[in-house]
Amino acid sequence: MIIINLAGCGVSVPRDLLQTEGSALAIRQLQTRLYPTKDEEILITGAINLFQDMGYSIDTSNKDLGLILAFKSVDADNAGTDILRFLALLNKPIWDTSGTGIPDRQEIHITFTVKPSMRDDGFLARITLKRVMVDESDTALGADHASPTGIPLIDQMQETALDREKLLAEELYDEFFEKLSKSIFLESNKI
Amino acid sequence: MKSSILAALFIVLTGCATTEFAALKDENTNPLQLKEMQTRKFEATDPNLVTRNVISTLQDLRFTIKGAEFSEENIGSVEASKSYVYPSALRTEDLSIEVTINPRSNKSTEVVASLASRWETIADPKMYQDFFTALSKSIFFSENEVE
Repeated sequence: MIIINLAGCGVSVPRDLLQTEGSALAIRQLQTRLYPTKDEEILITGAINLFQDMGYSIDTSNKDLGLILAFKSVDADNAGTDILRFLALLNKPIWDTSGTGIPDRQEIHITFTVKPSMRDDGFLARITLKRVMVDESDTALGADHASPTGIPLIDQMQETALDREKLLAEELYDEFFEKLSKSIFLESNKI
Repeated sequence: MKSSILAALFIVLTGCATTEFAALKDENTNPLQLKEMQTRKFEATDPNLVTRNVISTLQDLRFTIKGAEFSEENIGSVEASKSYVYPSALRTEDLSIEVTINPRSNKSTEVVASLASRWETIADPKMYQDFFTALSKSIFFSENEVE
């Protein structure tokens, strides 16, 4: 009966996934800084250099759209993850009888964008971060590995409220943009 | 026995009770209606700026950008996805979105968005309306330098 319930809910998508949060503008402002430069390319190059220095791999760099996508894999090891491990264990018997089904690696995905300021006084740089939990057993089992119920194993975990809080900490962005300013300075002075 | 059946039925009925789900495209979906809900024209005339605003909107909506292009013909495209957890089960699925941006005239830019789950195209007007409302706000923020 539980299987029917899960399958019944599973064939559709929650309708509120594209609703804008009330705090969207405040979050956007937190993630954005104005750089008073006429040179968009120097912002992009400075950001690429910085991400590489921070150990990120550049996935996409599109200068026409002022877009950089970068990611880094690290071991998952914090309180938020422990909660997910605990919850995953509780649900383990429902869909996983062969592997642990517990995420033990995390990926940080960065989306960095640059847009011209409408006041014509520079460019607006914005960074957004996303943390994704990855189950190492994916490589052996595949994300859609058939489980006894036909439900795939847990392959990625959504951000927890704790993640969200951490990813919206003001000092995180202050620190990033300070580093970006230094990287742009180095790039513009060819140091 | 009777009580256990009732309890199981309760679980089934309440499993989806707190969350509204989107309609998927089925055989009865009119292609014209689907196209209509997926398409909007914006007065903004710079397709590059509209494409950048599509990316900003998807950032606002906490999508992960998978890729974006802007061609010499001034046509933009953006692909992104967002994970969600089923309310009744601890597993995730992806909602994917593909957006194309086409210059239509000197006065407008057309944006076409297509939402899909792992199973099927989404044919729910509310979800497309939510996306275009968010995009309109983003273009407004951008044009008025609110961000």
